Amino acid sequence: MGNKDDEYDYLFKVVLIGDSGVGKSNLLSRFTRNEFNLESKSTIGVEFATRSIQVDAKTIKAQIWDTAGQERYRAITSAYYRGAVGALLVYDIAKHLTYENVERWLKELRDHADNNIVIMLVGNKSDLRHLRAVPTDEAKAFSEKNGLSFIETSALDSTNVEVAFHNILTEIYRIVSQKQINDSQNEDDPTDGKAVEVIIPSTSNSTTNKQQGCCKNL
Amino acid sequence: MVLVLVVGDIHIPYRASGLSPKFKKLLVPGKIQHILCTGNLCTRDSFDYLKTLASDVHVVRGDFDDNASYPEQKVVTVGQFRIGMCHGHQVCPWGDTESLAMLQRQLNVDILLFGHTHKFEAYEHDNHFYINPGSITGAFSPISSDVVPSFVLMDIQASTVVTYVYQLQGNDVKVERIEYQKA
Amino acid sequence: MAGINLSDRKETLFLEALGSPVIDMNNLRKLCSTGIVETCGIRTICWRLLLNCLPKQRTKWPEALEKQRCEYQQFLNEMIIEPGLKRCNAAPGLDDHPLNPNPTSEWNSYFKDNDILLQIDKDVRRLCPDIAFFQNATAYPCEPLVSPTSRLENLRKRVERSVLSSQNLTRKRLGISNLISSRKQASREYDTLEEGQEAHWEVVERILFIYAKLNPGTAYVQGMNEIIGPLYYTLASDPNLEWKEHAEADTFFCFTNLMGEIRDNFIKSLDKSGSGIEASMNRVLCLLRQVDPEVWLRLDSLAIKPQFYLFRWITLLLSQEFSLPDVIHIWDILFSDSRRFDFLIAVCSAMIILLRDEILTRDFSHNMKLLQNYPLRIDVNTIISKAKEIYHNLRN
Repeated sequence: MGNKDDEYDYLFKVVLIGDSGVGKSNLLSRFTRNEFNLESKSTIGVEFATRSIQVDAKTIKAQIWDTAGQERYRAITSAYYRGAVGALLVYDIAKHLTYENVERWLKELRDHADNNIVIMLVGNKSDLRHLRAVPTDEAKAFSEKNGLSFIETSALDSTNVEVAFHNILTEIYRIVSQKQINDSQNEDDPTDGKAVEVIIPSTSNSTTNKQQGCCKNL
Repeated sequence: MVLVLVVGDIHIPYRASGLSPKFKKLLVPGKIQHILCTGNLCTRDSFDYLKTLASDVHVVRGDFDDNASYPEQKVVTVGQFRIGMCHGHQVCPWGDTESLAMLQRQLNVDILLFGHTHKFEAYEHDNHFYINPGSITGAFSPISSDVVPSFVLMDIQASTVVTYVYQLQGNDVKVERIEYQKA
Repeated sequence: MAGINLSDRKETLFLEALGSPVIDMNNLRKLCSTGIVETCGIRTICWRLLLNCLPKQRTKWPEALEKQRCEYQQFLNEMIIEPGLKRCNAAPGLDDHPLNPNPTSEWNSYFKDNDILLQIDKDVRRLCPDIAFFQNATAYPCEPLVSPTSRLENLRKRVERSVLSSQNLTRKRLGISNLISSRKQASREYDTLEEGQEAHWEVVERILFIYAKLNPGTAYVQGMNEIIGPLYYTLASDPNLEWKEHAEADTFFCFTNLMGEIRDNFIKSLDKSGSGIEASMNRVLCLLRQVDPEVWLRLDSLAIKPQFYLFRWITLLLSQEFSLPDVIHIWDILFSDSRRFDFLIAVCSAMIILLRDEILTRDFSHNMKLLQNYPLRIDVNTIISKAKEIYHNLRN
């Protein structure tokens, strides 16, 4: 039985969002099963997959939620954001409209997701070099301006898919482990005369616990 | 029905600061399938702007283009039509019918697109079609007076091309329609 | 020798039921609830009857079918063919042009329609990707759209994006010139069909497009393609050519009628209403709680919400959970349910209950993946039997 899959130090919930057809499902399948399907079915509702990686000798289990892009499904998918610590906001580099809609998706995150969710802007389908409609520099500048990390990927030829997920999971891990250090530091000097700033982690249950994971899934 | 935008002689930022807002309002992404540019963008920014309208953009080199790697001439095929592109500063006398006809024969095309004079033209000559979209920004040209900002949209269907020319006359955009049938 | 086997006997029963001048719908429903036989094109007639596309009286069939098929042809003309011709043949001097932002402009409507068409196109191209059927050519293409001399364009062409093949010319000093062809950058969808042919998915695209135009309230919502897929597949695979020829038009009506019953699931604003998806999901959970409270509790404590799996099961009538033949088998029974779609609720509950061993012992991740990828090892017939067993609980 796959017990290896059940052991982890941290469990991070990450959501994949973006317009329909940008390649979210293939990013998911490429990362979690190393599969790519040119004709994968349309995603209705939500799809779910997991994969564990190592960061600083810790096992991070990524729980990745892939959602339907169309407007109608937003009402149902808002439930999915709960507990998510990371979001991959995906657009298609060959379809400018999907990039223009990034603002809308950012608003979606502001409305439904945690304030401190880590967001990575992903320009997918980088293999379509000759059909590029969104210049890399422009998207990079936008990301910097909005405090997002940025990467271009190709689920088709695997370019940067591993890197994208590793980066966001590592970023989340650094934030979470830093918070833990801060928490434990505060506990060290309870009688210190100085006012102690209590940092309330934005994600619930930030204690590490085998089998429990960092972020209690909902 | 394939919609192809024909534009050229943009000259931003050297001779023009930008497109007329009236034109910008019309040129929205998602409607145009291909863009053919007769040259003199002159910079990467204009190219990027065109790419937001359609991802398939073809450019030939004008005498003021920053990018030296654009070809001098290009031939694209849309359905039944072979379409030749050349900025035109290489064809002397500039805008001359016979010289252009010679180029048309050399490239063996049904339609020849050219620019440089900043003057819109669309005419049939010897059963072939010639289009100069003019300058979309109405940029100054030493060889033409009273430059009117213009561009062209071709609707290519089977053996017919319906050409729409958009011109900014005063404050209004005027649209004209010309039809060309392949011989 | 008593050679009549069970399926022959069943076939006879169906043929008898369908043969009578006035069909006894109750009897037919009962027969269908045991699964429809695969032979003689019986299923397509049963589905048309169960979805109210055919009247009970056999003598009225030709008239009803003629009327429907003409109506569909009319829709085709009004929404696709005539506007297309108008765009092609616009008289010179006419005000309209492709970039016209005016809402009354033909071109403007064309592009607005293209927005809807774009989503439909994306979805139908990937309909039932495991089978070749939808990529194959139909024997009954729409002539005005596929004829090589036609100036009209097929729907797919309206939203296809391709790169023009081009040749760059370089001139050398000596005047010799080279025409260098660019590497042909083929568009992603490769064409294996010949001129004048249409793939089945293009037919489905057209039906959905017309449906969306006729129903601007819902227009097209992702998932509708998964509902129409098995319907069209069944009708277009009819062994009887006189029926098969009209698969497109007849599917439109079957689909429209079916959507009439499940449409609320596709409307966001009705999610919380009595007829919306949330109500349906809750019915499944209520039934589950009644019949297997342990499993219900387990799912609840793990916080595996119905949106995560039931949503898709119900909205798509299970069409993404099983292979196509199994979906069709389930739909035989669903359509026969006179209290649509109570039986669907029972099937969903049964599907969960049959996984109880794993659900009760495994964790969130495992159970989520399980419910989202329903295991092949559980036979559809087992699920149906279980569903019938618990169905009566629903009536209470």
